[in-house]
Amino acid sequence: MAFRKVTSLLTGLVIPYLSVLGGIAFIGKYDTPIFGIPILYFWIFLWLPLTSLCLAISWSCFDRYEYQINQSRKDAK
Amino acid sequence: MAAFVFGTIMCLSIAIALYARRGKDVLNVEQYLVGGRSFSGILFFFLAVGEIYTIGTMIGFPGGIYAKGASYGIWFVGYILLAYPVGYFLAPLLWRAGKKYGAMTSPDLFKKHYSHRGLELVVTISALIFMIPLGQLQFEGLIVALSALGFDLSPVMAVIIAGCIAFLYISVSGVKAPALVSILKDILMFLGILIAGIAVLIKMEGVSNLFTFAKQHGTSVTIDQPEVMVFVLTTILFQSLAFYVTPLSIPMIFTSRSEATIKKSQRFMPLYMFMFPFLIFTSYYALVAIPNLKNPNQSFVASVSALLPSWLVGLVAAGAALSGILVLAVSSLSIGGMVSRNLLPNVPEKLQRKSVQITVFLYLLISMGLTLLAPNLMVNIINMAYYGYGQFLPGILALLFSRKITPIGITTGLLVGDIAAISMHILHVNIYNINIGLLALILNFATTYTVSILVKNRSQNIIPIITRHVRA
Repeated sequence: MAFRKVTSLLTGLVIPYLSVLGGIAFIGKYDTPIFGIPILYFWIFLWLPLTSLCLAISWSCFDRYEYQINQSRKDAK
Repeated sequence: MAAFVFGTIMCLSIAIALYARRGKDVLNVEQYLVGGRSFSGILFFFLAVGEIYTIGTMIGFPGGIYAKGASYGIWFVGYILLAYPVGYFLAPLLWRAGKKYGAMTSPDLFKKHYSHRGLELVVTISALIFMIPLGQLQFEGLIVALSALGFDLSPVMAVIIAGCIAFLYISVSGVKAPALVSILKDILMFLGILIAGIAVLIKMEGVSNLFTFAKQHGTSVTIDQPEVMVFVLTTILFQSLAFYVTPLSIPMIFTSRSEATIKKSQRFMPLYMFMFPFLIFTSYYALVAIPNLKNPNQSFVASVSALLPSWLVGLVAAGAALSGILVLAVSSLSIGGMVSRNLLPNVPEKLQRKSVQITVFLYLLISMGLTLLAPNLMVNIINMAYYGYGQFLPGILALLFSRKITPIGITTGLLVGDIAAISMHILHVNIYNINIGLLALILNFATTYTVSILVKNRSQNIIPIITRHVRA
């Protein structure tokens, strides 16, 4: 239980925070374009779907089980 | 032509509002304020994103890039993006608290959890005060939207017209309407942004050219000064943490049907942000093609007017104006809830209703006044509003997770945080460019903790929300 919660927090919260903030800090001063888009903007655009993915993993692999007993049957209806 | 399309859409929205109200004359307070805690995932999703992406996004955000370059663009996209993971974990707990206490406003949570009138009042009053910049933001945007229609309006005139439309709107549409109208607004807004972005790409023959030109014009696509970087990173951190504890987002969370519904909707919210690349393209186009705008807030509308036919300009302006008016309607509703439930809960209903009307009227009037007296870059106003919203964080975390923290501690911390934020803002305090809301928040946390330890709470045994089991 505790393991699932910690892993979920790591995947869903810590990874996006570190990647987005850390990425901005490191990439900030470079203006190399990637597919025509300056790398700083490219990095943050890239993390729109990746953040979504992190949350989806948090839900499907960890948090879903906590809610399953009470909830998913109800929502499926 | 633009004015005609604009007028038609505004009338259409009022018709939708009236339709939404039909047959629902008798609403109980819970339906009125939090939709009866019944919204499905899809409805919750649209309500959430509808409240998040407003006139501040469509008109304010390009203005920020126009005036300040990449740092403002990255800050704005970054804080909204990182707010979603926070919401994924925090919002279900807030919902649980709301369900347990039958709460409909954010002060309700404190009232029921701590049974402390002083705390409830301080939370209510600071929430009301920091609703004002939000109103100012909408009016600032409405002036810009109206200016797109081609009449040469003075700001005073524009604010008065915008105020009249808002008054009219709130009085006819009432309560349930905003949810339905926001679908129309979202479609218009999304289309407007998409069309503008694509028009820019066609005109400039591709993304590469756009940014190459922009660089030749000396506009920034990097954050190269360390002090600017500090501002960007601390602001993203502070605002993403504060995002889900604002007085507007808490009732929005309560509308959901269950905790799982919230978590499942949160997963998709970052994907809705795909309008930002298009907004950024338009902002850089404005920098290249229309370099000398007097008011940076005009940059989106100016690009749209330069690129698109008149009727499309009307469409875009209507989308922007609708989103501004909707936020005004929702905030007025929220203010009404707080005045009647938290500020004056035990007075006769007639007096209560009068006070709600007077407060809402004053709210709109003060916001209009500030727009005229202290015109500002819209994104800076967003920044200001968050200085106050962030200060609710220690209290919210305490009620969710802590047994130790006392209501006296939270009250003192909140007061210290608010006063620190406001005075640092007025005195232009600058400590290594760290976001002053974050500095105030650190003071706030420290005060909350110290006072809670020093002034022991003898009588109460407070059980934090987290200890309760997940419920259906």
